[in-house]
Amino acid sequence: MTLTKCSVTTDVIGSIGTTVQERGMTTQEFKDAFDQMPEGIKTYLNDTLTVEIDKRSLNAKTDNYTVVADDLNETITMTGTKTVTLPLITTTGFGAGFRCRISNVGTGTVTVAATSTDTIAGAASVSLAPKKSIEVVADAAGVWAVLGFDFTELISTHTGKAVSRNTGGTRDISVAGTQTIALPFRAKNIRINVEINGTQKASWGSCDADLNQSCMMMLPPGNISGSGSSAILLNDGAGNQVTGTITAIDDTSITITWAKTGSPTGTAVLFINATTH
Amino acid sequence: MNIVAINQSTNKVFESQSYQETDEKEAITAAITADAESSGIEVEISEMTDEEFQAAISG
Repeated sequence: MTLTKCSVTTDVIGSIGTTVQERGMTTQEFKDAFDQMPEGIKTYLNDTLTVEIDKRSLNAKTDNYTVVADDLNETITMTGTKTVTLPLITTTGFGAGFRCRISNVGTGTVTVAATSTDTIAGAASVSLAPKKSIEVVADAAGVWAVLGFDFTELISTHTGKAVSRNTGGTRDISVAGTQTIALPFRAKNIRINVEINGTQKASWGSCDADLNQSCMMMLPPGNISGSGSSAILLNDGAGNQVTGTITAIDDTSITITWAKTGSPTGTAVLFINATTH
Repeated sequence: MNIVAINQSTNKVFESQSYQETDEKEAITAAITADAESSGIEVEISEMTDEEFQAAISG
């Protein structure tokens, strides 16, 4: 996108002539005319230029796209398994120093391809996995350099402070279905202790961010068993059993899917410790 | 404090969750309400102290 040029008249004094009086102007009229130039520049810097920079928006594409000169310093967002073509660096409007960002905001794979003998990161093209972004910069030798941003790697390797939340809840285990536990963050590890209220029939389990989960169940007086596929396993000792599987983790909650065998009754009392970092 | 959903058919606690901050109430209430709807159960949502809640699930 090209910014609007400043169109202020800069020859005010020259237009007026040798003296104000020769132009038949009053002193005030001269001051007003003279002030037009700085006022115009001020308006351009404070209003026109600022607004045009602020309003630079994403260039959203859902089909194959060829980068144009107006994409200079812009961000092109791509949705779908599509190709973004970079024209020859020698194309008018491009040249050394041209740069733009390309972001794959969809779920497909985006191919960023150079043209003809130009290369990008030493190859004819590069692939962008979902949620990945790159910035390409042209040099004078037909090479597009890539400045990459791997947000997945950034997230997986960061060393931020750990945060935890303890919360409690209950569930009528006679009813199968889903239970949503609200949390103030996306949990990476969940530890969950459940007891059928008023009994010692209990379960201790855990689940990670990839929904790998398991648990150990205690059925008094001394029976212990477990599950490698659910975070909760409860048995009433009469052949009735209930499992609680964590089936979703998002930024605001976890979802427990309750399933039953037989006709379990009672209230499951849950104590949940969720952590992230 | 606890957000508690009472099953209108059985008058027993269907589901509940405790909360620490007042601004968590809305999200918990919405989650429990959605759980009840997905299970086809009509519930009445209320807030209870820990003592009130213990009495409700023990009753």
